[in-house]
Amino acid sequence: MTLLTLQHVRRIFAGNKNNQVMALKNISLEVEAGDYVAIMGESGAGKTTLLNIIATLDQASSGQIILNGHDLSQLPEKDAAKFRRQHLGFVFQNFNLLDTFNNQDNIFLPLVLDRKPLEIMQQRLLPLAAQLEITEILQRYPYEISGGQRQRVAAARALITHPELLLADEPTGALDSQNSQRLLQIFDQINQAGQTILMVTHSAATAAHSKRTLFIKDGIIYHELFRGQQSEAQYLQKINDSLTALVMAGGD
Amino acid sequence: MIHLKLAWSSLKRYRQQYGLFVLATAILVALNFIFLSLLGNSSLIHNNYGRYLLIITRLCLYFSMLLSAIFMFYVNSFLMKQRDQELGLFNILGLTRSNLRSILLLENLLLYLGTVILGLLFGSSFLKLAFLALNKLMHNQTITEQWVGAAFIKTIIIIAAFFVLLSLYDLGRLRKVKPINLWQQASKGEKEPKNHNILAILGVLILGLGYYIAVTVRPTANSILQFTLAVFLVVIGTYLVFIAFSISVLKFLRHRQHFYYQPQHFISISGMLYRMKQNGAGLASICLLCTAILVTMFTTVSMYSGIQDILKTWNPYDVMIMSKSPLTKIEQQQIEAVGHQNNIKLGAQHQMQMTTPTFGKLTKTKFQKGNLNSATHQLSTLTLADYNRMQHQHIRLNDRQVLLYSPDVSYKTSSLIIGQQKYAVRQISRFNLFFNYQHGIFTPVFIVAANRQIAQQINPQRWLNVTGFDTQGPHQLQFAQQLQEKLHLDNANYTALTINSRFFNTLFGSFLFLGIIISLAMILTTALLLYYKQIAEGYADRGRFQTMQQVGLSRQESRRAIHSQVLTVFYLPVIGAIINLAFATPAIINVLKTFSVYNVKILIMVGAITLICLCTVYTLLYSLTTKVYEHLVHA
Repeated sequence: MTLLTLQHVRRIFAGNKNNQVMALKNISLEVEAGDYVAIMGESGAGKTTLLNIIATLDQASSGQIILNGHDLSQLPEKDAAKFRRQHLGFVFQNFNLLDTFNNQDNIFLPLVLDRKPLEIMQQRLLPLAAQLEITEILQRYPYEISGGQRQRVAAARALITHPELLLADEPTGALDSQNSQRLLQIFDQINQAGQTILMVTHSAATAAHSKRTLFIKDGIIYHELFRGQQSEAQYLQKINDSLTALVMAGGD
Repeated sequence: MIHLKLAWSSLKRYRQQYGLFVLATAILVALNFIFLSLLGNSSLIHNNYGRYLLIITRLCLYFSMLLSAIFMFYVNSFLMKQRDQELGLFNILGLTRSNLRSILLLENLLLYLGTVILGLLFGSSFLKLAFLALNKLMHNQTITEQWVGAAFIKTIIIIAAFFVLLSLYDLGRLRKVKPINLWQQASKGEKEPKNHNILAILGVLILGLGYYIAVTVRPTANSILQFTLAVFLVVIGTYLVFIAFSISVLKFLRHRQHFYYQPQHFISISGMLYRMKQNGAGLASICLLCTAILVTMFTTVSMYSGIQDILKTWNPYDVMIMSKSPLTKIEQQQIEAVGHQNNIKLGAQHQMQMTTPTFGKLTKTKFQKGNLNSATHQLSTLTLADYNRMQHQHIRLNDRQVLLYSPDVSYKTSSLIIGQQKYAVRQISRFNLFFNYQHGIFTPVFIVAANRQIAQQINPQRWLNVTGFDTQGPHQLQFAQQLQEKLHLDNANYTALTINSRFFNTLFGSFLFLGIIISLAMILTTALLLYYKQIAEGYADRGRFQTMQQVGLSRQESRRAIHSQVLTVFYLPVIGAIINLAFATPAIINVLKTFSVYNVKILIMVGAITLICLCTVYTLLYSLTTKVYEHLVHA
């Protein structure tokens, strides 16, 4: 089943008249339910813009975005906020946890905003916290725990809504390699359990956990790789080769 | 030179906040300057009642200096916190610490110059207005505006001292921070405030005790002392309640999970809890400032508007003379002669005999003799014959019946026990010669008895002769002064309306004047504290609301959340101030009674008007600062 469809998406940032920046030129892509997609590209290629548009944090200048039958391109701001908390989950590079809440309340935040009853929140929290190994730190505050723990709390906040699509923006960007591995293993697990993931990353090693990698350059999808039956090492090699080609092609 | 340029450009970059700082400080400087000019004004020093005014002015000056200092330090530390990153960047880019020091010092010098020049300009222009207002309020034209050089110099020096202290603080801060810390400071989380249940309970108890004393204080000689104690307790209690009790309440609310896990409560309770530790003291200060504004305006306006009341109780007739025996022929001739000299038309004389007042406590059922510390009333008696003659009445009384006159209209009784005897009481609403003998601090009460014997029985004191008459003519003041000299009477046995009216207008007029100025200073300080607090919170909350929007809070919802949070934080101090005032009102009314102001209706009206004014100003501030806050959060 196709979960997400983008057709001819274009995003123009209006500077002054002579200086318009076209961040996305023409993006079309389809993501199947249960897929695990990594989006790679250099700084300024348009990765984050693409993610923001899918996340309804930004609106496309033209084109169509359909998530599970909902047309996102013309969603008013108020509905977009509601859509985000009901259908999407976010993991950010800088965790974006709130120091005013303890970890448990940080995880509850999207459910509270959605006015879910307390019983449901607690029911959902227990297995999730166990899976992410954060049960012990639930009553502590984000500034009292390590970076790796923070990112797992952030992941719990993203997953507790049972989102149709998990969006991750450089999730390992602020983590050391050990914590990165731990987070990616969790992503692997939840993907195997059926969670669709769309992830933007700089790191080839991170992308190598995905099933499919898209390369963006100058606002278009430049290249695409599927993992298929390859081992993680082979897939990583291919990703690195493609990145090199991408950079060389840009050198002319 | 490059330092000066950097300093100037920094000030320009933060011009909105520094501009406001300079403007506000300049106004405070101007107010201090006005106080200093009053203190150095020779026409005031040589005025009869000027020394009272000077004492109060000096107190006001100290208070407004304290206020200015607190304000400057608060805003300065707020601005410096915002500039940590900038200074860290300068340091990383290669400016040494001594360079940074020069920049900061130059900045403070520029700020100082701007503040003092602007402040003295304001001050000199306000001064004319101030003296106009003062003379108007005092009904007096003898105070003249003067150019007091010493006031200029003192202002310049005092403000310089403040800025030197600020600079020392800034330099100390600069010495402690390393560039690496400067970068990180913004992202450091705050510890959750501890639950000080004991302090919270203590705060409520202390506040309650303060309220209790304020409400139960009676207008006795000790009332000022008790009132001071109450103020002291309320100040401590308010701080404890805002710092500890608020945290306890919020934590309690957070533990009620079904209440807490609702979007509005979730966001605002957590936000306020996070903020209460740093904000409790600030909110308490704002609350006390609001209370002080309310109490100051309430008291001074009440006193001023009560002048006519006081004059009436002191002088039912223009001249009142008290003597052991009726006025002699010679004395009558002297009055005629002085009147004639001054071209004064003398009105008919009204006379009575009354017993010297006894101090004591009057309740609904009895009058209890008391000493200076426990008394609230002073009771005198007169005969029915005198009363009927004065009021042109034909009332009859038997030995167990009396008439009673009390200026307090809310006082109602039908019988009183005085000494061993119970009397049936009929209250009268008019008594032409009602007056406050010797201008005591106790409420005078008059009892009309059937005859001299019963009058003596009720109040076994010496008889006094009271004579009162009105005067007409252009030189009443001169006449009143000359007559007092001629008759060799002291102030206790001789009062003239014109003399008293001048005294009260001077005294209460200047109280009101100082009250207005000091309230202005307090309102200004409150307003700016609130403004800077909102900005600081706006910066702190910006990231928070952005994250919540990413997770699924709509703009509309976040606006609502912001409003409910800001509203709560904003109006907590005012609600606190209103509660404080409500409990202070009985005490203030009682203290005012010692000045012979008995008109409770006027007092309540003045209180209500003051309250409405403050709320209006405050709401205006709220809408202004909330806009700034929203702008920051949504930027």
